[in-house]
Amino acid sequence: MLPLVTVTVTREDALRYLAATGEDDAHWPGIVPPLALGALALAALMDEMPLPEGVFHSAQEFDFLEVVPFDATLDLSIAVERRAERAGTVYTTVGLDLRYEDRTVCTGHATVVLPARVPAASS
Amino acid sequence: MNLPLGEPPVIQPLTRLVDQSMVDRYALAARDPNPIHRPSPEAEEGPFGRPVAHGMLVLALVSEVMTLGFGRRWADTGSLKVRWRSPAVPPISVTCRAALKSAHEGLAVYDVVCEDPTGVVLLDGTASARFL
Repeated sequence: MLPLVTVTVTREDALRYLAATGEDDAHWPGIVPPLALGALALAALMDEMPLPEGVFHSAQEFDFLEVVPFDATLDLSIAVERRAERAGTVYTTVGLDLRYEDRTVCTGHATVVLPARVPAASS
Repeated sequence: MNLPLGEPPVIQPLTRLVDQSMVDRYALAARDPNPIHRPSPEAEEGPFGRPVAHGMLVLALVSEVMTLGFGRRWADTGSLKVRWRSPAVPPISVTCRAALKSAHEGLAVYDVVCEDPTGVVLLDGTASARFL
C-alpha cells in the first residue's frame, strides 16, 4: 500500500474534463462526473507511481458508489494488486479506493502493460 | 433526486470524432501528459508506432451513454469493466453501443463496445447500473 494521496476536483476541473470529452455539463450540476473522478484519480496515481516509457493502459474497472460535490477533498489509497511477466511483457494491476468523509465513493482496478523490448537488429 | 427508472433504459449509440486537438485537450484536463498521445519521438518509438488517443478518452463515451440512460444514478450505482482491444489513432470516428445483457433485482448489465467505422473493436466490456 502506497501513502494516502489527497484528490480534489474543482468545478473548473470537471468542466475542463467535460469540454475535453465532449459530454454536456448539464448532466452534472454541482457534482463531479464519475469518470472525471476516475481519470483524476488515475492522474494522482501516476504522480505517485510514474510509469516507464512505453506503458499503456489495457484494462479498467470502476465502481461508482456515491456522487461527489465539487471541491470535495478525497483520500485516495493505491495498492499494487498483481504483477505478472509473460515473455518479457509486464502486466501490473493497481487498486484504487477513493474515500470522502470516511465513505468509499469509488473503487477501481487499472491494468497497465509494459511491452517486451524488441532487441535492436544487429548489422 | 434519484428516482427509480422502473425498467432498464434502452441505451442509444453515440458517435464522436476523436481528433488530435481533442486528445490534446484531454491530456490537459485529465493530467495525463504521456507523450505517446501526441506527435513525438516517444509516440513513434512506442508500442503503437504513432500517437494514439487516451484509452480513458474512448471510455468516456461509455460513461456518457450510460449517463444519458441512467442520469445521476450512473454516478452512484454505476460500474464499468472494460478492456482496450485496439488503439484509437486520431482522427477517428468512434461509436459506442450498449446492449442490455441482463436485468435482475434492479441491476441492469449491458455489453458495451466502442468501434471505429469499419467495425474494429477499440474497447469492450460491461457497464451496469441500478434502475430500481
